[in-house]
Amino acid sequence: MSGDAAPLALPLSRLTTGASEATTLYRELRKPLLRYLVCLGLSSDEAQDVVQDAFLLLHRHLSAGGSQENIRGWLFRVAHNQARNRQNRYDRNFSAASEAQLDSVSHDATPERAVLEKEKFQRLGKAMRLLSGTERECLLLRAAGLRYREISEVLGIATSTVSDTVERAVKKLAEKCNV
Amino acid sequence: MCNFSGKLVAWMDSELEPQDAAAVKDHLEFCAECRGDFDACRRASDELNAYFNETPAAEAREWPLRTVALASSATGALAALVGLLLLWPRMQTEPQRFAVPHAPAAVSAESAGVAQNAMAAALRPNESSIEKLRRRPVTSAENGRTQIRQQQSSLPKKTDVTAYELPNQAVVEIAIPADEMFPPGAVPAGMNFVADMTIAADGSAERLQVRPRLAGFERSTKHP
Repeated sequence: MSGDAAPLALPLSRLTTGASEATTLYRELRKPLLRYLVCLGLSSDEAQDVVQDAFLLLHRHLSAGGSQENIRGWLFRVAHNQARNRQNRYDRNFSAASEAQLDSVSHDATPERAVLEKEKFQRLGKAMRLLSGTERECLLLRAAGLRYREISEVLGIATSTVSDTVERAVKKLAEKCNV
Repeated sequence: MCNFSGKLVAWMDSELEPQDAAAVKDHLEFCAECRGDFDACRRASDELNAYFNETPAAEAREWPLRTVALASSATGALAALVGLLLLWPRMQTEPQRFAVPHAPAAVSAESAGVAQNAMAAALRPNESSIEKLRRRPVTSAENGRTQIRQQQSSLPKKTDVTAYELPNQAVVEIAIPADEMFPPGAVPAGMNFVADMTIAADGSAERLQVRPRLAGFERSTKHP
């Protein structure tokens, strides 16, 4: 997991060097952001609105001379807070996202593989719904490629708490999924 | 339960300090229970990552508007060039038909200048007289003082090319529907593109610029 993760602090000088670099950053982070928001329970349109707003705020933040450190954590925190502001939809939890994922699997795979994948994702979705909100958010941010320190900044909790939460949540998943 | 059982996932994520990571690694080599737990955690983690990566990320709206504008420049330039080649013979024989009687609201002063330069180049057979006409000051005797003001655009009074008075507005405007260049849904509704052209004396295109334009949000040329 960590081997695939992007560097902790993206070289933010890139943002100020030109619009094309900013566009590159947008392309790098857009999909993980969207997936995180959709997994939290936002609809695809809502997630896209939040992501657009987050990048607009990033532009203003940098234009105002804001800090360029840990921009990935900054973006996820803004998106996360905006998702929380849409609280009633945010709390729809994991079920809506699960259905969308099941549909996407069924389109791509052979029938046998689709059945297996559906079962696996159903099992995983069920296990995810049994986790606490913080555990779920930690796991999703981790799946999006964030390091523990970035997750702690997004969620406003200590890094050690993130480590304990991730450890506990992954073991719960392993137990529930019987993997 | 081992002392290291609470660090297995952190070790998997390379989040431990080097000395702790080395200790966990050594422990896993001889502790079968922790090794079993670690394998289960890794499988669960892999499943979750696969689950996350299967989440649809709305491919249809992948590019931001600015990227769309940049990415479209080559396509837009090609479309503008094709349009120009189609219009060119008629522009030479019927210049009046291509004059815009009223300023298109979306055309900025800058683009109007570009287009005006384009037409100036297009009407180069008698360049000196055209330039004189274009720059001819309009005098008035109001208040007993001579004032020079910018010649305002109007419909050309004469159709003779040598006496043609250039308008200040864009002369040729090629609107390119966004759906002609991008898949449905890639560009928001109401977004089109306008090509500005500058034509050299030999008839080639010196400069092509494609600008996005949102319907309903045109910039007024009266209030820059």
